[in-house]
This record gives sequence, structure tokens and C-alpha cells, in this order.
Amino acid sequence: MGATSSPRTPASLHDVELAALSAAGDRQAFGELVRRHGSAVRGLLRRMGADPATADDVAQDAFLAAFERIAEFRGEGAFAGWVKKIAARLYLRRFRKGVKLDLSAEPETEPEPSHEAASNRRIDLDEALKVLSPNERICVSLCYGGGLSHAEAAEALNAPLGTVKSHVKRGLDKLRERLAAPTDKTGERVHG
Amino acid sequence: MADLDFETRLERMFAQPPAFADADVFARRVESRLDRSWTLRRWAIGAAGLVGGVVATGQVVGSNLSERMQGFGAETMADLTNSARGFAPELKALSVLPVGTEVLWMGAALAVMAIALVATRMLEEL
Repeated sequence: MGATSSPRTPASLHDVELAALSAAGDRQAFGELVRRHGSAVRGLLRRMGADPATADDVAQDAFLAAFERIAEFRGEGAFAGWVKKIAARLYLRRFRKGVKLDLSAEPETEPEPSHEAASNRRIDLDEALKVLSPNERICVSLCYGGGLSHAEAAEALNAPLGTVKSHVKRGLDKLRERLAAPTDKTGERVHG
Repeated sequence: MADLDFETRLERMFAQPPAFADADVFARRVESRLDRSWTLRRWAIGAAGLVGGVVATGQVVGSNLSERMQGFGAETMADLTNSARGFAPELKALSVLPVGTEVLWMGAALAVMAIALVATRMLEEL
């Protein structure tokens, strides 16, 4: 019955354990965290509207910043959520430098997809987000993908809370419509 | 309620990361940047230590420390000898006490420990 203690590889460790090892300077452990959560961070940045090259660049910077501040991660929340917040804030900083983010701008009118097109294919989140204006997209992604509260998003965007809330609401309305279960030509819901 | 359901559903969708074919390449890139910055930092710390050491050595050599130490050593030895002579009668008186020298040494050691303890506590308070 003697239990044998096999050496634990980074892949078998929990995020919190890997973070603790990383805090002690173990870069291999941190590499495992990057492998686990890299796609989530890159995905969030692309969903916020970043082009693939910028998203990857910012995601790399976010992981390096996370390694520098790894001692601050105490495991109260998910590691992915923590890095996503860092990445989202880094992207916004870079975004504001390059583009004037005018959150007070009137929402742009997006071309409505034809009912037939919407009903004939299952629409995923990434497709649906394309319907949103850049402002709505950033606000919705920050709050539902980056895990920021409306107030935190307003602070990160340097915008009034009410403006952020209205962008989120408009974005949610569009997404709700876009992500509604597809229907067939008779109007019946299609399952599966 | 429907709003809440939709928001929960949306959060779940956001939590599902898209699959990237180059996920491993991305991870390796981050690791190599991490290694580069680590190596750079080690070199920077080493260089700073070297510069600091050179400056400190220069200061020590430039301030004639060894000559001062020699002078200080001679003065101190003379002072200690004078003090010891002054204490000689008191030390003789101690030998009259009904305790051994071991007890005296132990007492002295305890006194030193007590002083160290008080000093430590004071430093902690500060």
C-alpha cells in the first residue's frame, strides 16, 4: 500500500502552485501558466478589437508584467482573470496612444444581417462581436471578458460611468439579437 | 431574469478561449523574452556590483584608512591599558567575594545578553 511520491511536473500543478513557484523565480512554472492561459488572453484582446499582431504583442507584454508582479497574485481569483485584467489595461493604454478613443461618439449604425443569413448558420461570439461599434465592443469585452466592473471599465477607459453603461447596454442588446438561437424559415427554433 | 441568463451565457462564451494553432509558439516567445530580460537583469546587477566595488575600493585607498587604523589602534591600546590599571584594585576586591570566577563570567555574559535583548527590542520599537 506504500504510496510512491512521483516528482510533480509543472503540467500537473494547480495555477496557484505554479504562481508560487514563479514568485520564487521558477520560469518553467511560469511558462506552464503561459501555455495554459495564453489563448484566453490573446482571445480577449482580439475580441476587444485588437488586430492579431497587436493582440499577441500586448498579450506577451501582459505575461511579462504578470511575472514581474506575480507575488501580488494570491490566488483569490482565477489566474486567467488576473492576467486578462492586466492585458486589457495594457491594450487600452496602447489603444489610447494610437487612436483617439471617443466614447461620447454617437453609436455607428451597423448593417443589419439579413434574417436568412442569421438563420442559416450558427453565429459564434467572435462573429457576433463584429456587429458592435468599437466602443461597444471594448466596453462589453472589458466587462464580460476582462472581468472588470462597470466602474473599473470606466476608470480604465477614462470615461464617465454612465457612458460605459450605455455602451454596454447597447452592445448587449445587439449581441442578444445576434446570438439568439437560430430559427428555420418557419420561425421555429433550431436546436443543436 | 432573462437578462441575467443572457449575461451569464455571455460570460461563459467569453471564458471559452478561441483555439490558436500557434499557442506553443506564443508560449515559447514569452519564455524567451523572459529569459532575455532575466539575463539582462543579472548582467546589470553584476555590473552595478562591480562598479560599486571599484568605487568603494577607490574610497578606501584614497582615505588612508590603514594609516588611520594603525594610529587608532595604538591610541586605543594605551587607553585600555590605563583603564585596566584603574580597575586593578576593584578586581582584587572581587576576589574577596565568596563566589568563584566562573560565576562572575556567567554574570557578565548574562548582562551582555540582557543588553543585547533590550537593544533588539528598542530597534523593533523604532
